[in-house]
Amino acid sequence: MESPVQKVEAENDQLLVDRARLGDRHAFDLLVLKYQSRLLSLVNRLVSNQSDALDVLQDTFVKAYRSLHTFRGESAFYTWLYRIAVNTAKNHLASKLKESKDVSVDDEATGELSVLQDFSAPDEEAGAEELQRAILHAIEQLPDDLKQALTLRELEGMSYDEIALAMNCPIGTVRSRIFRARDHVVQEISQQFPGTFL
Amino acid sequence: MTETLRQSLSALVDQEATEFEARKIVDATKTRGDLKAYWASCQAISSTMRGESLLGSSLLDRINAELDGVAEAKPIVDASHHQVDPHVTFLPAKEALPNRFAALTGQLAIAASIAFAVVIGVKVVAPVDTQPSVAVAEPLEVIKFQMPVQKETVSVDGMTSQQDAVERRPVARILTEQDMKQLVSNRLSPYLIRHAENTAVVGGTSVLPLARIMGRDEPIE
Repeated sequence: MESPVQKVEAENDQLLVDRARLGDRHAFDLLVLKYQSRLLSLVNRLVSNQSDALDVLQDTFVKAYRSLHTFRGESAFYTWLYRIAVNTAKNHLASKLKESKDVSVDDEATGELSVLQDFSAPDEEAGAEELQRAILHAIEQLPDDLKQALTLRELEGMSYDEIALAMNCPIGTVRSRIFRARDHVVQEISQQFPGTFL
Repeated sequence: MTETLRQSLSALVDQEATEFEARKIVDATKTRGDLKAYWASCQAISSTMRGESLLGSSLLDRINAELDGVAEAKPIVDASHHQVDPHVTFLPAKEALPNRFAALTGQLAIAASIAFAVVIGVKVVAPVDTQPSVAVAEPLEVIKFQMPVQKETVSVDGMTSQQDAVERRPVARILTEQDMKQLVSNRLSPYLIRHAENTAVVGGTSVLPLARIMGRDEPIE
């Protein structure tokens, strides 16, 4: 059974999909930015290293964009993306396996396993970890009412109505508190990591 | 970017924005890069709090580069393993639709040219007149008749020399059914006999034509 929040999310995603179908790449960008981290967590469990995961993720979104006309909205957009990502990861693993078999013949002569090396860039991973620490630190610095509202939304997945009941305040206040919490964190990040997000 | 717009965007991240707000934001992203950056920041906060891996804009750049048809060097990959000449422009990852259409059109044009050449070649090399010598020896006659009710007109025409053609006239006479059968039998039998002879010489695998001739040699009842 679809919850009211899920229903609204499906409608919002459908709006972005419809715009993207009409060639609005900015709308598709919003979908990528929304789902990339979630999909990366999934793909990281399927492939061996971060570099492969990013390749799979890139292929997944490119395939998704080129197949947007086939998305009927019968399932959630993320579910549809999920299926594409799993299939892409399987294909990637199959080609990688074939490639490694071919290379292993040469390895007997050269003694190298270049294909099996992890190509992930340490600098980028370190940068992401540093950014995450900065975000968590900024959240820790928030006033309690803002932090509580944001935590109930992000970690508990509560709707604004439910948060309003839990915090015993109007729904408009919840909306405002969550916005102010995010806004504060974004300002902090922008100062520490200028130009990180686009 | 106004605070109202940022607040609407924050609500959209939580699926709590109104439809009007959602459309307004989606429209605004077409012209405002800062709005997209704010969206990315909000998504990064959500991902971090949920313990998901964080991605900057590098993935989006790669996706857009591929969708634009330019496969750029992947910044994640160690440059020592994948040397990429920065002046090289890569072909699109997937062929664009117009290119495929052009290729198909080209193939059709080549096929049409070959077909035309074959038709012309056949006409030049092999003339239409391919009648066997036996058939040329005798004039080819075309028999036109109708089943008689009372009176019939039978026209016998041939493809002989011009002199013969001048002398030949349509013959009008009354035919009985018996006469007509006899006429057909007389005309048909020599052809079938020649056919049987040819078959025996060329094919030689079947006696069926002979069986047919035997049947035809008998007077038609």
